[in-house]
Amino acid sequence: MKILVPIKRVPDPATTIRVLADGSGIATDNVKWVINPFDEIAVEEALRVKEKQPASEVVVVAVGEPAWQEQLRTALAMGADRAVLVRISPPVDTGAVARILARVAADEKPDLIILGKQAIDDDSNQIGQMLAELLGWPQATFASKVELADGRCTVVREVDGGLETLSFPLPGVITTDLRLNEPRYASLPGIMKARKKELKEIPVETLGLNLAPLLKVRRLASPSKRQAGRKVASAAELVSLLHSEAKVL
Amino acid sequence: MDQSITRPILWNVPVLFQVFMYGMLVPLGAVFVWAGLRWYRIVSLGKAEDRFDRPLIRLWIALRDAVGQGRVVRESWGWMHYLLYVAFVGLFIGTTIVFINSDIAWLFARLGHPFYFYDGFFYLVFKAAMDTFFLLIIVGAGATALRRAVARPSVLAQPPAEKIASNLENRLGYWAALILLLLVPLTGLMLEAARINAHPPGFVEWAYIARPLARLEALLGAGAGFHRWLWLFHVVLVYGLLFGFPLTKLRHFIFAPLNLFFRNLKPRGRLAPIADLENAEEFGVARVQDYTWKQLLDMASCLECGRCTINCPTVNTGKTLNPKFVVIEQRELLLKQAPALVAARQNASSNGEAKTEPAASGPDMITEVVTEAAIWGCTTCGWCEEGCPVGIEHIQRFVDMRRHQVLMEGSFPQEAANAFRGIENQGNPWGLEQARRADWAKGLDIPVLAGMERPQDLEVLYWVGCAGSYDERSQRVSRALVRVMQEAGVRFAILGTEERCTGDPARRLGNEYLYAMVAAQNVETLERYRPPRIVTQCPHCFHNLKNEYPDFGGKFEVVHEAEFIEELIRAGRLKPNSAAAARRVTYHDPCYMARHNGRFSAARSVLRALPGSVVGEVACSRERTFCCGAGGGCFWKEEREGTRINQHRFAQLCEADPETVAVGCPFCLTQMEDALKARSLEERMNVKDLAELVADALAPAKPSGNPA
Repeated sequence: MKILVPIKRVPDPATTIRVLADGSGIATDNVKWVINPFDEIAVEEALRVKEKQPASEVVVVAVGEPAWQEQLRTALAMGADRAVLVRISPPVDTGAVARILARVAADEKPDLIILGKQAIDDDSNQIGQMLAELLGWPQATFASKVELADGRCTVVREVDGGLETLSFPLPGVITTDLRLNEPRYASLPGIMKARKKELKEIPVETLGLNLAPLLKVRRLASPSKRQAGRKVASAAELVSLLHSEAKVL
Repeated sequence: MDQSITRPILWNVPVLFQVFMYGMLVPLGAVFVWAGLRWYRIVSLGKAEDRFDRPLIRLWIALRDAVGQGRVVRESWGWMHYLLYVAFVGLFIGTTIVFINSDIAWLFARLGHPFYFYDGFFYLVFKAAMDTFFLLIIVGAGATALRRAVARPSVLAQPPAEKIASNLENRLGYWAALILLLLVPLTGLMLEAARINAHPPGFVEWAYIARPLARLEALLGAGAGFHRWLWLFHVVLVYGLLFGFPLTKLRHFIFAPLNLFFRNLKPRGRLAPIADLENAEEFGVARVQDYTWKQLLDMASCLECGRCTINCPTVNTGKTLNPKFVVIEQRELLLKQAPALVAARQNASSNGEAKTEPAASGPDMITEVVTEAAIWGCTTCGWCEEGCPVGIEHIQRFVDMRRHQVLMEGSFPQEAANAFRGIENQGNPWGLEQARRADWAKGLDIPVLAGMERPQDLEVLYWVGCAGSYDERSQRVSRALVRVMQEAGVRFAILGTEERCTGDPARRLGNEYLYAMVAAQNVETLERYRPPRIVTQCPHCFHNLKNEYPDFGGKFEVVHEAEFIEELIRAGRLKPNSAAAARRVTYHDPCYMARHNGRFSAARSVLRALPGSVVGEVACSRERTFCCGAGGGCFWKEEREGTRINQHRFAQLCEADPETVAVGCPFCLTQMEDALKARSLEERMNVKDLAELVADALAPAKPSGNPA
């Protein structure tokens, strides 16, 4: 079993995001970067498969700048076997990332691709779906439980108001939901070993892909600041304000 | 001297009996040598550790605490051991004196230099002294036996039987020793009485215990035959006791002073760093032989007195961890595995190979012997080490196992991972944003070191800590401390967003790798500014900066807020003169100040300096303080077993009937406030940090303009 896990580098969720004055992007000074938490869950799930089927190989892949090595090393420290970094300079749109990953998948020929359902920075929720389409593979998104048996994959999905169980033949694409697992904390020998594991860098030009963007981010803006609440003296005043100002009554 | 005042030595003792008495010295000596070698080999299984520095101080500690029984008498029942000890040493010296007089002096007499001295006034005083020692040893051993058989205090509890089943010593040791300790002096007295009856001298009143006994024996018609066989019985009992010294826990007569001699001289609670973290392949301890020789000596030295459990927060709240059980269980494992380990080592060294370990056999120490519940329970409060009369170091043994679990296995309570990630990514265990670390200080006009004008004027760097920076309740303490320092005109600054967690929770939870990273970073930051002094509001920050960072290249002068405020008051820079804070108050000593650093007086003198405050004390205070439950990284994980430690402690503090529980630690603050709320006592009591109480007692900020 060979599992490909695409990961993305995102700002730590605790970071307050500040949008640049011209709306072209976010300020990156003092930002601590981490693996996208949903992708970390994907790495963990791949490692759990490997624990059950020790002959498996877990390959992590990222599409980004050289600094993304840091997150690939973290995944290697968790226990992934090797890493691939497709080097590209931003901006990259989701369509380009999906096409690059499809190309990597064509080369690596994995049995399964597991990735986060979305990245917490742009929340686009597109890569998994696009990748499955480009590869012509079945997909199961928002997985909260994954089981592999006899060349088939059974996935429980969290849908509005309930659970849906899907089953598909391998190879296929799974995107992970929050409750799939609790990612492990890398052990120190894992961190040490990760330094010696293979991390292959591929300049994107050598792939010869047409990466013309399908969409362009025009502008980023901060959400408007929340107004402080107001204390009212009586229930009557509250009702009247809800009627006259909030216009909900 | 009157040489007629003496007694015949070995009167009425057949030669065969005498031969037996002297002859048994040979096997006794052999057993001593055998036991000594055995323990030496077992302890040598441990890893190297330097405990030979400052030998004079070590000698002094051994003299004070072993020979002088300094630590034994701290607990009320220590007098029983003290009696046994004094009497036994007295009787031993007495026997030696008789031996010198009869055997050594006899030899010298044959060489023409007689020096017999066992007569005259010396003999009389000696008689009285020996009778006294006999009495003391009977009282001491009797009281000890009653305590064990009748009172049965919980400190004497033993681990579950199946865990110590193999150990005959554990089951018989105490009773065999105690019965012998009672019978040996009793038969000794009876022998003396029989001799008095046989040779009624005129000075018999000096033997004030034996004399009435002699009358009794005379009444019963006990004669020379009785004496002869009693003598043999007595000698057999004495040898029973003497063989017990190398073979049972009576070995403590040598292990206790030895262990005290080698005890930790560094501040208690200071953990040892992992040498060469980057290149090491094994981290922490998973097997007994991974411990250092001193840690193995600790196991050998434990007498199971249970003092480590008296104020142990987990034992007192019904949790798995019992420090005494852990020592016993680890020793059991050590003794079980030692023969194979010793043999493997001897083979390896005789073949000239590198030391190789035999394949793992027997139960897994961490998961099966000690259990994970126990290793994660420890709050590192240090009571066990404070209470231990023989200087056993418990905390490092626990942290060593945690290190293995975290660094090798990646197996630890899930909540701890959040603290680790938070420290790693954002420099605080809450994982709140690093960039917001100094948000609490907005509008308070506090200089940040990085942009400070005239940094050479800096008096102290205020190390706020994570709680003081991020926790809303503790932010109020930070603001109070700032007000106090501003009022006193202290020239201080903060590091602002350059400050990061000292790494304390990571280190106590066994994540030494993360700790080494943040420690190096903080040392680098502090070295850049070289502040003349650092003041902390958190005892954990204090302890790490002061006692643990030297191992990471940073030596700083650090004070805790209690001492700093006391200094300001004493120097007249701070005058708390408002009675707004008048109240009955009791101080909850933080473990990392009172116990690990021996500092508890400053906080009290600060409280006493507050107009109208009445300071009440509870039994468990100062170095006997009881943990709030947050130490050792336990603040960052769930308390799953037993009752809650903070509520146990809070109930103790209520004994002083305080209106305010004063604390000197942000984590104690949270824990005590939670306990207060759990008991719904918010109306009647509150919990306040020292700095808040001092700020309350300052006159309200003066309005501008001239006073009327």
